[in-house]
Amino acid sequence: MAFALQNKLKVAGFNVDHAENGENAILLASKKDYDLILLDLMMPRINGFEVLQYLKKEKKSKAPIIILSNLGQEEDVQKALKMGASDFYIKTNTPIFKVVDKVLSYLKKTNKKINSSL
Amino acid sequence: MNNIRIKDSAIINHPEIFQSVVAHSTNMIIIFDVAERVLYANEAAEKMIGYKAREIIGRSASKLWGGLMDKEFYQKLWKTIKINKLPFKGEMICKRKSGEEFQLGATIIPLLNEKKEIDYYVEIGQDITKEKEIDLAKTEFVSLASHQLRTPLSTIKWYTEMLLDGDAGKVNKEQKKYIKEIFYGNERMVELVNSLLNVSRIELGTFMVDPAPTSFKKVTDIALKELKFKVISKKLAVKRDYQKGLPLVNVDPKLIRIVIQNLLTNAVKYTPNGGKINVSIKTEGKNIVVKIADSGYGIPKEQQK
Repeated sequence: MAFALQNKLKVAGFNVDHAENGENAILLASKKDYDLILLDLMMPRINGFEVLQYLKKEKKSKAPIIILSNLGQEEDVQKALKMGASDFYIKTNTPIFKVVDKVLSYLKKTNKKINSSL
Repeated sequence: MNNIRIKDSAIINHPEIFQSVVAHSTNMIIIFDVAERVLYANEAAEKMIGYKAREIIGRSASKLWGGLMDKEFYQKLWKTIKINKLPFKGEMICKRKSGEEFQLGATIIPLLNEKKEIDYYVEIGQDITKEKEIDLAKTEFVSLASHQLRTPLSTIKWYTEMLLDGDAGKVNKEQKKYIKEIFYGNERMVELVNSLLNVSRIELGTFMVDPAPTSFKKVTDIALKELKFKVISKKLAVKRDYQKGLPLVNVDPKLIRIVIQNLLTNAVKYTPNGGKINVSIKTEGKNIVVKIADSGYGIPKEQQK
């Protein structure tokens, strides 16, 4: 899943780091400032909401955070947006090229570095 | 209660029959007066709230409810029974003697005398705690299961998309055709899961209809394509009769697709081998009419309501 997106984004010319779980996502994000973060919600141990909380509250990260998840109940969407996520996409309902398009439109004027934790 | 008329005077002259019915009812029955004082509580009431009848007789009926609901709930309740003099039906969280909370499905009825004044109130209730728990568990299960189902579906979706894009090397025409079948099959599954989630959302009270300009022709064709194999294996003749220049209609394409899918699936299922199915879409005034007719068994007259 993450591999597919990672490949797709690399082909599009982005530098991509991949964290395979929430813990690693926090570790990566604490070391580096990313221009954009793609974040899943259902992850082992530390879930996406907790990572989102860390990024926005503790790290005060200014990078837009796009949620890509298979959770998608109204409550989840509202919660994530309230916590500071910029966008919310349900994976099964979003073609991969749309994700790439979205990343492109977010990063048009910035450097090309991405962290994806999917 | 006031509407009950008993013609058989033999029964009405024997109030002990009613007493026995009330006493042994599996529903909680409590009778209280205009000052809210409890006058009677049956066995089921004792079991449900944990007090013996003698412990609560003379006590305030509303205090027995425990005050766990918000103020508006009780205001509405009293307004209904006291001012409007109508029965009140509702679900409320109550407390047993042990302090344990439970859900009560209650009906409270004011009993009026000849001057239309309230003499007594009758409270009939059922413990619906278990039902509520099962309901919640069911909703949570559907929701969780759907999300778990989505994970492999999104993997299939993205990888087939990449294959089609040639990300893993060029695919030939035939291969492309096969991959597309996988892709569209998966898309159908995605929609089924979305529909399942929508069902559980109805229960959560947040059901969303997502209207978009929709082509009925397209929706019907996709549904027919899905049934292609069954149609071929049953040697059915499908005739499509679409009016030209059909307008797009603002409906939820996923929901309308389920409707048309159901109709067509039934038509295919219940038409004998070699039968005919006619699908017509046309405008009639401001409406779009989709007709699916088949040479099947039909619906028995008595079930056509």
